[in-house]
Amino acid sequence: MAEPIISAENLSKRYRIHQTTGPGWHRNQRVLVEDITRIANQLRRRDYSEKRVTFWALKDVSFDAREGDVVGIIGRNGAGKSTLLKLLGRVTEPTSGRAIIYGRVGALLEVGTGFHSELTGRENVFVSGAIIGMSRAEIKSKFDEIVAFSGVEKFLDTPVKRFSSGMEVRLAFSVAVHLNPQVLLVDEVLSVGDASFQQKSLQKIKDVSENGGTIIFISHNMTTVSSICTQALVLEHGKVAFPLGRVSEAISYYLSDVEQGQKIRMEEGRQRMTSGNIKISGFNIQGSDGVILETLTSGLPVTFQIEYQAEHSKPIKDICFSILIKTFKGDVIANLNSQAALGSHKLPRDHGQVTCTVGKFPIMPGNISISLLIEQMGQVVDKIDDVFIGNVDAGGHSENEMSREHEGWVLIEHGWSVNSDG
Amino acid sequence: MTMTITDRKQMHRTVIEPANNWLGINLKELWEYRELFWILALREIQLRYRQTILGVTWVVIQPLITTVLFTLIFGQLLNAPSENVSYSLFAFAGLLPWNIFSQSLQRAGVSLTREIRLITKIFFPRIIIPMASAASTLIDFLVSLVIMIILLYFFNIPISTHIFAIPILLCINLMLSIGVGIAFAALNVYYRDFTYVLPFVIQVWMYASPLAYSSKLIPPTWSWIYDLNPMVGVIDGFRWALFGTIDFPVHSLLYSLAIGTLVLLVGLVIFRRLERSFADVI
Repeated sequence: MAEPIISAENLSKRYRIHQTTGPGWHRNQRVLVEDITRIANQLRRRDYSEKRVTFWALKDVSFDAREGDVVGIIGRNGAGKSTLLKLLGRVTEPTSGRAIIYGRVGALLEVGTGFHSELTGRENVFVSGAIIGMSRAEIKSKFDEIVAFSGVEKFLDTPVKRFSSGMEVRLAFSVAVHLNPQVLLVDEVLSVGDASFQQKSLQKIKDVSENGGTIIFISHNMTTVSSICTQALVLEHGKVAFPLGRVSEAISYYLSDVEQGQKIRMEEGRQRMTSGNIKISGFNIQGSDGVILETLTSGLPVTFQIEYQAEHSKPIKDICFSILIKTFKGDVIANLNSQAALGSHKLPRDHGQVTCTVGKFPIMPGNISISLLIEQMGQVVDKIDDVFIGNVDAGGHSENEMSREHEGWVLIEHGWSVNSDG
Repeated sequence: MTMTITDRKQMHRTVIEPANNWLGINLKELWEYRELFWILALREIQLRYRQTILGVTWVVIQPLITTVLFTLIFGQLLNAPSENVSYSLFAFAGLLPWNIFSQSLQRAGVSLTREIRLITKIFFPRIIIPMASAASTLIDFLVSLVIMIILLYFFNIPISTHIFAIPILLCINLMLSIGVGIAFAALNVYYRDFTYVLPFVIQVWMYASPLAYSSKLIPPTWSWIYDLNPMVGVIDGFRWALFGTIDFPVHSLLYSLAIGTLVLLVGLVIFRRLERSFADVI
């Protein structure tokens, strides 16, 4: 059997955590001050404990992929998926371990990379093609195909700044999928464009694998993963939690793990950034009757309860709790924030509870994640990312209140009327 | 079309591991990306005068205005000696190498921080970015050179074979600006302070170069230290090549060549050293 196309052995990447909190001056000076301290300590041969300021974004990740494999990489936000892709795409170097890749590597990392708003569509096709590794001759020969795939023929000689974002994305994506690489790295880009464009793009990715290409595919969308991947692995906190294997098993491993997301995940690492003496110690989601909920339902009342512990001798002041509701990609949809309501309240000093009540949960059915944040006098003192990852079910809203195709992220209560006398 | 399991030996092989060859620049890889270099340089030229009324005319206007200013202030007001040619010619000949030096240094120095999206998303030899920025100023140089030749014609100064020295002088010039430029570009990724330091460096360097005045004004006892500025040899070299009214600046040009080589090597080492973490710190 031939050597694998991609062979990763113990790939690891360590990052330094930059202290970005603190007053403005310190925030701007952080790197220089830190570096000087570090160098000074090294010069004085002091033992400089690196453990405190670094974390492993990826640790000992190994896998092999062969021709025609479509490897899905599954994991929560911050599990190390993007870091893995960056290492394979040589954007950044591993701290240890190594990987060997045969053949031309193409990346569909973020759409529009290399596009410049002042250049026309035509010029951008050439620039961005060259950046992802196509030769000029190659771009020329595929130019018509690229343009036809994107469907923006009419605007080719218009600066991209006059494009709608959808047009820009389609053109950029078209360039990228025409690279025809032997290895293709795909990072959650299929969420762009309308449904038919997504379908076309997925088909294009399938073509690459059918022609013997190898694909590494990152997505939060389990439907997409199960429809195009031939194998999958699950990452958790930078480590391989489920080794490369059957897609269905990897997905069910991941989902069962996600369902445990009801429990608070207090692991140290990037997920948890505690720097103050107030800590989040509990979190739950309740329905209108006080019953603890496993999933959220759009349109129904919901109560979020946060418990905290504090080492304060006096009642706590100037504290602000935030509940961040995010899309699966990590974009914040809403920030439920206690600043206005509780800002001037004094809270019990040892431990306590705060609750946040939402009358009709206005998020569309789909996958969301919730992160918690405590700030005191404008500084983050505790933060838990992805304390909850799960589904929002349809239910509380009547069908006609929802857009038919479940588009968008929020439900807005609204009414329509006809003014016939005008 | 189906691809059979091909012989691995014929395929491009990429090894991803922590770097240890921190002195070397992978020339083979650089060559593979040569088209990207030209496309990025071209892009910078295309972008420079977008949405301006005068467009590329600016390439002609800028050095001419500087020459007029120099002539009025240094030539007319201060009566600076100009090596037996008209002062404005003298000044323009000095601006020819200086402008490409300062512009390519300035552009290269801030080039990486303007390409955060590229650097954090996709791989290619990073050094292409500052080099393409520096190269994009060649077009200004060529236009200025044409103006220079037209001026020589009007001032009835014969063009000698000395003019063939210009490409060599230009190479020393670019070695210097790219060497300093890539070092600044890399340091700027870590500490943006260098964005603000760079204009001062260029300004001081300008006064330390025989741009508005003749290097003959420097007392011979000090010339050994003055000649340490590698631009002295380059600028004097240009004037020698264009007018022939001064002797060939052997001494200062040897300095330029030696220091230029050193600067380029140091620049490459700094760049290669810092390059590894660009995507993580930018």
